[in-house]
Amino acid sequence: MKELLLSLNKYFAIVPGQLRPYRKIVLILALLSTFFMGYGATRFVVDTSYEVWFSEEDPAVKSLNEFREQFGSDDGLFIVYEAKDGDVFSNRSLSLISEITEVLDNDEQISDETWLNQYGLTSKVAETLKHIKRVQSLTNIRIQKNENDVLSAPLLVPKTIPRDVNILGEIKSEAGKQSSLPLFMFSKDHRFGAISITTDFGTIPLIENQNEDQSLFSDDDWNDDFEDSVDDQAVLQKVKFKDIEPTLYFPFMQAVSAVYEQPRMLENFDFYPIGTSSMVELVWGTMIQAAFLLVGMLIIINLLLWTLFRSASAVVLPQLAIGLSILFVIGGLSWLNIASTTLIGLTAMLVIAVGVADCVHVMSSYLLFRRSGSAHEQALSQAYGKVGVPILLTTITTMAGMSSLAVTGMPQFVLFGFSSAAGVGLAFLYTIYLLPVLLDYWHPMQEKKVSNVVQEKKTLISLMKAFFKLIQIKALKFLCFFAKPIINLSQRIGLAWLLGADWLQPLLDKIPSFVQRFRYAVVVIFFGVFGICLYGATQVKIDSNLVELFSDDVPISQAYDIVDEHMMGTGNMIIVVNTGESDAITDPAVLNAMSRLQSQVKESYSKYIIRTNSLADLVKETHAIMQDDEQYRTIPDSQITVSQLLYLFNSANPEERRALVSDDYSKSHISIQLKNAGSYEYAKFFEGIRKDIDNEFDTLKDRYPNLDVEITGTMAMMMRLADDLSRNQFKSLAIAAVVISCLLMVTLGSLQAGAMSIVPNLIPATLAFGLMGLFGIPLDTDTLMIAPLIIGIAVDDTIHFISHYRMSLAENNDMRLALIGAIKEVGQAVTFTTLILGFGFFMLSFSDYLGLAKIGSFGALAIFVALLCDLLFFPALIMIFKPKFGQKDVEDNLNFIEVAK
Amino acid sequence: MNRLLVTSNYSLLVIVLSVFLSLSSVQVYAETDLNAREIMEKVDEESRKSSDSAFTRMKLTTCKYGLSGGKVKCAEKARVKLVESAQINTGQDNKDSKSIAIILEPSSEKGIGMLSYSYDDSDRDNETWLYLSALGKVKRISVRNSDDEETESASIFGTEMTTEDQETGKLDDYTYELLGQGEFRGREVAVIESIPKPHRLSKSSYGKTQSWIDTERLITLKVQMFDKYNNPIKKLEVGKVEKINDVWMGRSLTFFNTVSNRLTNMKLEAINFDMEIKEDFLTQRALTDQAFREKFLKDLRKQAK
Repeated sequence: MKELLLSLNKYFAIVPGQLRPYRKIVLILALLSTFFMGYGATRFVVDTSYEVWFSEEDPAVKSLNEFREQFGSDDGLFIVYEAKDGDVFSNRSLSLISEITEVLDNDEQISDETWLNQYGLTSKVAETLKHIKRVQSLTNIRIQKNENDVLSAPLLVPKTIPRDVNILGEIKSEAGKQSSLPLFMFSKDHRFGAISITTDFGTIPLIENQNEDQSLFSDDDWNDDFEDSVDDQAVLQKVKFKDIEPTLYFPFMQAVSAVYEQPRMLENFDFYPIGTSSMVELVWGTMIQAAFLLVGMLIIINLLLWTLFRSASAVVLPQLAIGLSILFVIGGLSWLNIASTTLIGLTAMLVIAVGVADCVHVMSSYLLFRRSGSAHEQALSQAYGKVGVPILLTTITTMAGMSSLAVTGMPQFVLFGFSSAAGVGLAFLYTIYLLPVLLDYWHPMQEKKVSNVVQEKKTLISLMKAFFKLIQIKALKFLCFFAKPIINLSQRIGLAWLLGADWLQPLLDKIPSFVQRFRYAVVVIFFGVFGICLYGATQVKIDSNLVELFSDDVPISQAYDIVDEHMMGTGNMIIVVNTGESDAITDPAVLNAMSRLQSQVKESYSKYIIRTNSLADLVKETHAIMQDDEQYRTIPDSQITVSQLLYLFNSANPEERRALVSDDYSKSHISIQLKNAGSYEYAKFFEGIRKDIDNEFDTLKDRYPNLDVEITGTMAMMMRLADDLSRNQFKSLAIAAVVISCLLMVTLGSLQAGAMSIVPNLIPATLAFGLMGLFGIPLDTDTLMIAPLIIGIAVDDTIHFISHYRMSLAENNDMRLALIGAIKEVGQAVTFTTLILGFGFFMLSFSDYLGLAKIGSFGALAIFVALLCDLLFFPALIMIFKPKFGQKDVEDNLNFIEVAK
Repeated sequence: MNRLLVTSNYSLLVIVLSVFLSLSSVQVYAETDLNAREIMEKVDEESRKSSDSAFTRMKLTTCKYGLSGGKVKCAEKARVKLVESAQINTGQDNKDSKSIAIILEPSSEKGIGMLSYSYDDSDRDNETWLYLSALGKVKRISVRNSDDEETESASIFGTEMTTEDQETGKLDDYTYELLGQGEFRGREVAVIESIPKPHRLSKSSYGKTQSWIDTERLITLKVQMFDKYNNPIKKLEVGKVEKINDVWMGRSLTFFNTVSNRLTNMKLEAINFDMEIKEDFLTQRALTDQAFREKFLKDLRKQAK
């Protein structure tokens, strides 16, 4: 292994020199492939629909698709409002809500110019209101009455809203008597009300072959009559539904909120919209914020690169590396016709981190050699000889870490893992094979070539060179225009000194003696921290909670609390009952089982469940009404009676009937309104419900052998996804840790060295999890997704440090020299990358979206701690254990204190 | 649940007949460019005349359908409803009406009946009584006329056919365009597209409809319905066109819901006008007293061909 590493070292050292004669070809090849990938990237598709996360074969997906096909969209908008006068039944409240309801319900007026002006909407945004299928509020809802054998369904609130307090009081008490209205339309204390909007999201048919060109008069195979005989061979044409694109929700929410956010309305109400539409709007907002933070991250990276290297090429080239690597990943995916998901953003972040680290190591090493007197070509060769192997190692470990995501088996994660690994690989190729060529053309500490330029013949090439030079100077001037004020400011406040890094080398010089003096203390402290973190990591709760992903001052948290506390809850799940037999749902035994299950789960999980609803409730209510006696609020014993009770309902409105039971009465469902909770709790809750379902329905299996009862619904699916993801991610993370450790042991050539390097690597990795466990912060999907990334970055620096030490030891057989060299040379590069990436990530911690903020803060923390491990912990370990990394005859005098004196 | 009774004020027979009749009359004016009001009054008059003392037996077949050998077939056992109904016009100028509809099949719904009195006087609410045989109870269903504007499109007997599909009148609510004229199924037809005006659109399930109208017999042969995104979602095919009581009628109407792949075929098995129907029969007793009802129905069946 030692020989292999040394020969690799030599290979990397000669790469820049070998490439030099072919540098034009390399450049042309790079340009051509960039154009090729760039052209491919124009066809890049990001699939933002959430269906992309599920396999089509997933039973829950099938169940949800069937559900939608049968019962319609479960994706609506629920706008809760709080009346500032404290009464949603006051004349003022009802009048205003009636106005909102009218406008939303008659959205076809959108073509009206005055209407658009009034609400400040463009016709394109307003058009999305046609996705509204139905609007329900206190002012248009009907109630069921049965007086003196007369059934009626009057409006709860008359069209002309009464002013008389007594009449309003009667309306209030009438509303309270209805079983379906409290919590759905108003809170028990009458402070809160709701407008429920049903949409067609997820149920818009996707009709192909519209036969646009078919003549209006061509024959359509219709026979004069229809025969109702059954043909088993008849082929059904299944209609697919359009995937829901998040981009659809945004203008929709914008249009709906424009209606209720009129000044008059806001004077009287506070509004709290709940539902995917409002959630997407919020996510959109935080995404825009995240984009600004990412720009901030880039500015910081630029500023640091400039102040650390004071060279334009050191600022431009690493970013070119990142840009090209990302472009190649995107272009490659496009050429392979693979649609990406939003995870591509994370791939970009990883490539930014790894690309910056790779280039900074090269630049830092290169500049170190230049400053110590080497000429450009020599310095380049020396730098690659030093950092080539560590960069290869970090590339391998990070690629292995990302590829380990493939064990989740979830297609989108496999894609994410492999495309990220490819991105990291590309960044490596760029650093090793393209960067030296580019540095040949344009490198820091450029020799003055003015005289040469004059002497050169005015050929086309020299003209072009001059032209590019001019562009370069102009571009730099342009950059300086923005950078100068910032640099001036940073000089005044002393930031320039901090970032100028003039303090760094003197500080690094002091590290060996400092560590030697406190070596035992350092090791005890780090091991202590490691131990605590390990304990903390065992205490981590894996849990994704939609609301807890946002900081407390974001309105959604408030909205969820209010709806959970006062109204019917923010979540819902659906239990689909498929008997597999026509008319079986009208069997009293089936309806009774549904009804019993409802009471059972309501009783057992009152913490989560606010209300349940099913066909059984409807049958009971109709029974009581028809018999005019509350005693008959039961499921009738005879199936014929049930059929006749349902007949009335079906005749009146099959749309609503179809929302509860299928056309052939073989399928129905129980819908359950829930309070918001995390995926961990939900997962347990779903498990419990599953048992209750089996208990209740197993006895019916004799009568209906094909009976199938499934839990589904968008929310249930999301929660299951989050839980599955978390578990899988945790698994892949563990695998990544094992893989990286094994790789380290192999490449470092000894068990002892491997074991010794794993601990400093594991500290930054476990730190984030440990702290989360200790402070009770749940580990959610987003944080887990970023974990391999954090580990990758933190581990990178440690690998650079350790491998440099090892190479130096192999060359000189002197521990002291090796350690000083590692601290001085790699210490500088590691500090630079830490500062750049650490502060870059830290920017993200300001996000309102806690998923991103956690990534930012824990990422930055891990990166800074990794630096401490490299500069303090690892040297201390070496001083105590004196590992020889498989070398013989090693000079192990590690006394730095005397030397320092 | 709260909309359980919204549509129950429709007189069943009026609905049933108007489905068949409306197809023969509505578009006349669209074709001939006559004054809408005049045409509507004519249509109204015509349907009243035709439905005076009528007795019908109708079979409603609903199933999931598929294609087999290029033909539309039920892909599962069809649900069949058989309904008999009778109606007479009463009151001043025969402008009020009384009707009864009784379900004969399926057995689980056998005996369910609905009795409706509708009045021309808009100040007087229509009356409807519902009888569920399994419970042996009659309930009067009250829906105030003032609420009618709220009524949304509803299914007829829980089939794929909705009240919107048979709606007559309200011609001002649509704009019409002649898409073309030519030969279709061996008949000269005009294809007319009707688009609801904005205030109408919000209550409609359709963004537009296209009708193929036999210009000689003035009967619709086919209707294609589109949703608001211009997707074809439903269609109606008319078959067995016959001249009954001097009006051309399709006796077999098939509604296809091309999204849910379900169809309803509505077949007029018997239709007879100018029958002798006693007003005594159109009372609540006909709902609750099976022997009484059967006696009358037997008599009507005998009269009918």
